[in-house]
Amino acid sequence: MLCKLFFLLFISSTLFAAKVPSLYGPVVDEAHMLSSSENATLSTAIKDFYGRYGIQFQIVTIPTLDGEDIASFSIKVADAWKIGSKNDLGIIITLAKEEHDVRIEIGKGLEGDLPDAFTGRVINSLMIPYFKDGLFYSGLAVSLQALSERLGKTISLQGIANTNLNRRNTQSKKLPGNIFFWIIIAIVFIINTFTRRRRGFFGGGFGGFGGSGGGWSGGGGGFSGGGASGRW
Amino acid sequence: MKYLLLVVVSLVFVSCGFQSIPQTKNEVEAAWAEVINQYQRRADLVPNLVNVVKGYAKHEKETLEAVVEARAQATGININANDLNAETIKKFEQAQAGLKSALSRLMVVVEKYPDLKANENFRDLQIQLEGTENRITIARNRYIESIKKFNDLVTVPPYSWTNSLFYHLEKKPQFTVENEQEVQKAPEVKF
Repeated sequence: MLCKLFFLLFISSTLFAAKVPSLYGPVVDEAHMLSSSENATLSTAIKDFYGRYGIQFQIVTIPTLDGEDIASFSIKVADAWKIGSKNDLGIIITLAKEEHDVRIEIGKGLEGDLPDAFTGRVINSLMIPYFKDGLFYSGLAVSLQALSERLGKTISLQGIANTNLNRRNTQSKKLPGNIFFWIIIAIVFIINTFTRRRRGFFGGGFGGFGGSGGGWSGGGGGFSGGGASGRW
Repeated sequence: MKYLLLVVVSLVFVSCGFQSIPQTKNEVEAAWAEVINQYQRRADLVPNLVNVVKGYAKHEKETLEAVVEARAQATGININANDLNAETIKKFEQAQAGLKSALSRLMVVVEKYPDLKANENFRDLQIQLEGTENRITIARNRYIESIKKFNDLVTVPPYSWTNSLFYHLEKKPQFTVENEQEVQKAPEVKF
């Protein structure tokens, strides 16, 4: 312990740029590119996928890269959040709103199954056509589906069935499962609120929302720079 | 009592770094192995790339040969982490920069061939090339970081005292990219 104290006193530590947002869920939408229901749908699907397969997706959007290269920012996020379980099974999708840059960062453990060329094709053929139309949720949903499929698994995202390029006219922002989802959320919220009152706790009721879903954090996954970038 | 306190304090000082110095040294070696690994990955892409380009751009013999030659140079230099000094680093980096430069020139030449650019294989290779360059950058940055950590322990008290007493390890030369910029001044490609 004393050693660490000396270390801090005498040796400068390298801090990541303050730009890396805090990790509060599977979808960190700093640039507000998704509606709250889209955010919730993606978050649920990602949490479910992680629970079932130990593969951790992460979506992060930022308003601007501020002159930084997206690959450089993406690896900073990867190093800070350590997305992915101990077997390095993490995938981070970063969107920079101002620059229209997107990057999919692939964890070390998935580099074999998701080679750069495949990831690049997911970005160019699936994501970018949707993104160009401003359909960020759809672009993300099809990409998550394509990546999952490639890994031999399915992610529970409804509404976008085909990962084919002929999808422009079938796009719809409203998903059928939505209403049930919100009913469940409402029930959970009510239960939480009542539980809190019994304990005599009058803090902000919204705190219970996050608590009910469980915490979200990186599992210690490592990245070596695999993946691909694109621009819409 | 005072002497006991002195002994305890001295022990504490001296133990700082007892484990961490060899640990950071190991990390430096591991980080270097990763750098070599990623450079090799780039070299491995070259044969495929050359073959695909040859199919569409037969007349660019010179450029293609330059790439093959640069690759041979780059893969011909092998250094392990303990042999790294300013001289060997310079040679190694120059060879790698030479390959990077030859590949850049190839990518410029490819612009003349829209069919080649549209080819699926070529596009995949291009993405893979970008991927390896990114991995190389990251591996190098991490290596540089590991050197800094090691050098800090070996030169800054109280860790440096532990080093002087037990390990007698020298500070390691830092990895720089200056040489790369020198070699990167490629001759203009005449169309």
